[in-house]
Amino acid sequence: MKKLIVMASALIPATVSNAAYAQAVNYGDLQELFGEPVTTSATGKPQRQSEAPASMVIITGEEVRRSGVRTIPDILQNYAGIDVNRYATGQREVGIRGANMPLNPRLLVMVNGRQTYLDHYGYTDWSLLGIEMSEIQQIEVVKGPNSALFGFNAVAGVVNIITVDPLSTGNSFHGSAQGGTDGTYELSAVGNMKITDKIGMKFSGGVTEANDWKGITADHDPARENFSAELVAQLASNVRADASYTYSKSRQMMQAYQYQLYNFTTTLESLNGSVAADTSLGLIKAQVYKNSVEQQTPGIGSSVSNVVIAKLEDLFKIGARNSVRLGVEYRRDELEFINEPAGQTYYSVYSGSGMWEWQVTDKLVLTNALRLDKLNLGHGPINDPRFPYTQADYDRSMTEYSYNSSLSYTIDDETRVRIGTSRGVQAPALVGFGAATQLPSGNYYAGSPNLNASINEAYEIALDRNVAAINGAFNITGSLTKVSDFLAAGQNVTVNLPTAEYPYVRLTEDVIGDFKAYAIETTLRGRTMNDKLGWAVNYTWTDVKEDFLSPATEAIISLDEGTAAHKLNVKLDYVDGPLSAYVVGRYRSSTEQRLVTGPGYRDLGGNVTVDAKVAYAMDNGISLWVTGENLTANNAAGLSVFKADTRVLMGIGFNF
Amino acid sequence: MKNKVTGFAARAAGLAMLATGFGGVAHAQSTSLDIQVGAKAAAFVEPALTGDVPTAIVFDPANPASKADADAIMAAMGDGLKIKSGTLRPQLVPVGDAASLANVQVAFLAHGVGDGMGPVSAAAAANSVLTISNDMSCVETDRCVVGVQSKPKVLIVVSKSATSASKLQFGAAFLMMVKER
Repeated sequence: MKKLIVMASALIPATVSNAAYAQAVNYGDLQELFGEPVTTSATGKPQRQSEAPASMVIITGEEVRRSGVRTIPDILQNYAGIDVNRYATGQREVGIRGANMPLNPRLLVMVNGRQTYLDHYGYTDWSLLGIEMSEIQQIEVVKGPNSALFGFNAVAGVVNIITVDPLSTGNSFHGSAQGGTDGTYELSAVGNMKITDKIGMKFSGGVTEANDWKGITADHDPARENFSAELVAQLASNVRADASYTYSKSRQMMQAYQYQLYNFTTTLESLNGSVAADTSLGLIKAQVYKNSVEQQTPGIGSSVSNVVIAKLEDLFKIGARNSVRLGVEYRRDELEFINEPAGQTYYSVYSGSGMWEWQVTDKLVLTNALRLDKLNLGHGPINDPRFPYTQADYDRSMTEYSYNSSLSYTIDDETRVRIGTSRGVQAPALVGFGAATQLPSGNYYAGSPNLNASINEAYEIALDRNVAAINGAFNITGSLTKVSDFLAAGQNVTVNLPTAEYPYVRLTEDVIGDFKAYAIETTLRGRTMNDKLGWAVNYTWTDVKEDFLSPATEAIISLDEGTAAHKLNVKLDYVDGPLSAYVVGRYRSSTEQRLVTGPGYRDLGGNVTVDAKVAYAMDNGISLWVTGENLTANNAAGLSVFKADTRVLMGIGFNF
Repeated sequence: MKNKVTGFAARAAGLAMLATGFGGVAHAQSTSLDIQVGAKAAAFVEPALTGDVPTAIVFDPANPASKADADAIMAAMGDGLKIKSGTLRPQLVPVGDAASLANVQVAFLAHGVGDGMGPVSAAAAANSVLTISNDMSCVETDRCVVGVQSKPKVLIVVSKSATSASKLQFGAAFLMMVKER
């Protein structure tokens, strides 16, 4: 131990020598400097996309806007290794490297590092992100487990959406209105104000309504509304503070438990505060936020859930070749059903994490990250003697570790190879631990306090090469993901059937078995016509092998048949002065999507979908556009469980 | 202001340099893109450079190649090159006039300065001048603070000892993303 202390003491002067005033991570300036997107989502350290030790997709805000998409999943589906299925109105479900499902619990989604993943049921409602498309700086997607950085549920991957910085943006306003077929309309506004050189504010808000799945959802057309405010202050030359409030509400029909359709009305309010300081001890960041969720779901019950997260991290260099990040985190999660007979289910999580990047040589980089999470489960008083568990049953803890390890070798200025392995942890959703609610039928739901985490182990190898001849790049990545003790919401219906004496049915989350997913992703992209035309072609092969515990589960859940084995995307992105045009075509091989009505499934043949947007921006700040979704009028577009919609929208935007 | 060059020759040299830069030819001279990268890197000095930032372009008048490189840098910068919170205002400084560095905040070092580099580095360090060069041997020998290269991909190398000697500081995020030596 003494030896370690001596070693640590010896390192401190090297760290202090990097003393600096300064800025936190300024994505815009760094991207402009290095000529490529910059990310912190791979390791917590700011890195160029081409040097990140993980498979990543970074989509710029400009491309999001040129594409005309109305939701984040709509643009994610154009990239290799990303599966997007339509199990709901108003939004799509996103999976990474196959095995997508309704209420997908395996993808952690965040906005500026604040999770929007809903812990109570363990899924992401993409209508509750609380952001407008026009305020996106970039979307960062990490493929593969990254629990070692972000904690539980970053197992298939991570999506971190970065919004524009009001202090860097200055005074600006963007407003837009668009509408079209199927009763679709959207209103959106984002305003940035630079109050002083050191204080900036941003307001954003929007409303959307549409008729999805015509004939199915007449009484519950999807809608969303949101409002957010952010205040950024440069407290000192080396200290910056950020405070934000977000309100968002969504209404939609979603496939949920056992692929049954439920109407969800959900409100998410979030308060977030952070401080970043560039000190002699490194780049220190503290963040605290609270997400409060109210959800009404006829047939399941109404619930209130809260999550509070506080984290502190320090990122510093030791010498010229070692970067280190150390972090601690506390999380408190609570769930209570309204009129619940069995009280509140809650847990606290204490976490410690570290990352070490070692530039072994100019060509060889080794990156390791490790995290330990200890979850302490608890429950409020249980007043119903028929409830299958006592309060003491919830007095338990669970400790899990996550890691990421990657070795990158730069062969020459144009080529890099990388191998990596990782372990991610999917925690049970709160409802899986044993929330209960009285249904109109008189039955109750009950989970189990004895659930353990599901473990994801992944291995991947990748080759990246710049191709000067096409002013672009090529990538190929192969991966294997092994998931053990997979937890799925509401998929095990065989544990207890309710009786008058024992009215609890275990119909929430449970272990359903194991599966493996093999994937090969390849992308070729370039620019031509004097840089006016960007193009990209990507292809993904995915094979999911299920090993479920029971044939009943096999009949209900379809991770293998629900995943398209072959996915091909082609994109053209043209900008010439005020004119821009964006066209993307997608091919998906045949899949079988589960339904609880009719025969229990829907066969979707191989299908091609085309989306497009053409826009014209005038000198006076006004722009006009036409957007088409599913222009091939394909019934299976977006791997929709019901007949997919075709939509044409016209819009007008104001930029000042 | 001295030795300000705005002539046709310099602009022509700049255009020629621009062409070779886009062609991906090995760098015998600084390209316009190199200068842009160097200028953007200068924006990460803390505290930030603001307003008009006097900027030297140091060259060896006795070496035609060095003079040509200096002209190319001058042409690339024009009357001034905007960075985040200021504008780099260039002026040519012969290598023998190292004392002039007392009046600048940034110095681009042209190729071919040769033995004059030593006094220039010493003068720059004494005056906390940020020295930048596309000639990577400059930063590799710790005589420049920053070495830049724009092709085939942006490469920024920062000399820790030159930074320390010049009493300069950079933001932590910037240092996380460059190669330090």
